[in-house]
Amino acid sequence: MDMTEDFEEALGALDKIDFTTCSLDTLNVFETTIRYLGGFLAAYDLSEGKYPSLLDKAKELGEMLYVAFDTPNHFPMTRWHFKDAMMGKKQVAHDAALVAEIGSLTLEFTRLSQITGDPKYFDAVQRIMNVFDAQQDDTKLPGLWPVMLNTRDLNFTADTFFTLGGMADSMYEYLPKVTTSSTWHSLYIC
Amino acid sequence: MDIRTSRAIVSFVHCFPSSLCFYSNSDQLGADDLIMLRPRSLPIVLLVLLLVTLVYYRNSFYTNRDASAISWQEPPPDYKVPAGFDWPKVKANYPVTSHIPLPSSPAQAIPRIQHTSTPPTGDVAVLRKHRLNTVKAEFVHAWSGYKKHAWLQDEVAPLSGGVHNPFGGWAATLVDSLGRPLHTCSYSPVSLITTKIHF
Repeated sequence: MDMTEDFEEALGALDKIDFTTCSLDTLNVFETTIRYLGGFLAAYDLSEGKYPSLLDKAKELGEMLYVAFDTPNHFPMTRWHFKDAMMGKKQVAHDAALVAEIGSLTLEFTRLSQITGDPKYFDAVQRIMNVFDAQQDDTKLPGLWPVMLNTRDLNFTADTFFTLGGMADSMYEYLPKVTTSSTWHSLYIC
Repeated sequence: MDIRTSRAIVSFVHCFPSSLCFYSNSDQLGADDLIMLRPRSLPIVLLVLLLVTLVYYRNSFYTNRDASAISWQEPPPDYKVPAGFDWPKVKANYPVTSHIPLPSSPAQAIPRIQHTSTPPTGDVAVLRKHRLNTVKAEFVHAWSGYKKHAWLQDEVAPLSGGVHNPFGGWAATLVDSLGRPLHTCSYSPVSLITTKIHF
């Protein structure tokens, strides 16, 4: 099978992806970020920017997801009633959000800012990581963060359940990846 | 008790050799099964009950916290955004007044933790080539199934050939896999990443 042909075919199908329809009422911001935004940006980088449609899709989705961060403390809704947001309804970040869903947005949002030159995406996730940083040594297991975070009141220290597995793993995975994010090229393209 | 728990019990019980069999040969455990118990089975019964309890509570614990659990609800009907709607034009209720800038200094190097491998030779090279081809074949198989049964849907259901749309119905598999052909198989502008991975 010629995978180049498949890639081109998949690119052609991007036009059919319509972010104005949705099979869900509540959008999982983390899942949407890692699968879609990550997918577009990875393919854009791997093809060395040859396909602008990939970046267009990433920007289109980035603009949508950015609205999930429109809360009093600018922490994102993780399970997002995006239709309410479309109508301009006020949102408040959840008092219980999974650590992976909050802490695994950095890679995609940082890269989107790097490519587009628009700092707002990096700003949105750096605000989150600053809180991770500030409270890291105050958790019940200092150094690690618990599974449930109160993103409404910015209390990351209350929960007593810790894991490196599901619900947390991708957050720890993203930390070193983002740290080396200015070396993207060597990271992905050998 | 949910279906996962029931299945876990059934598969656990199936692990026992037939000499220890204390349940009927049906796929479901029921009240009848308990009638067949003999006294010497008591320690086993207690063990099973303990395991059942553990499995049950583990499952309910994860169900409450599982990130993907919500995604698997039956999706509501499609929703159409009003014509002319544009996300960048949504007025912020809590405008961001200043942005934290991207770091301008180069990233700090982090210590290498990976083993330094050398290209394999002889039988090892053959074995690794075989493994590499197996991975490629699996990718092609999965991709073909998606194309045939679930093109532009989020996921193919691999046994039924049906589809799932737990991620908004925006072709999640397609988008998530966009970069994969580029580094799973040869694609001219990009070096073959797989040639650098030694299994």
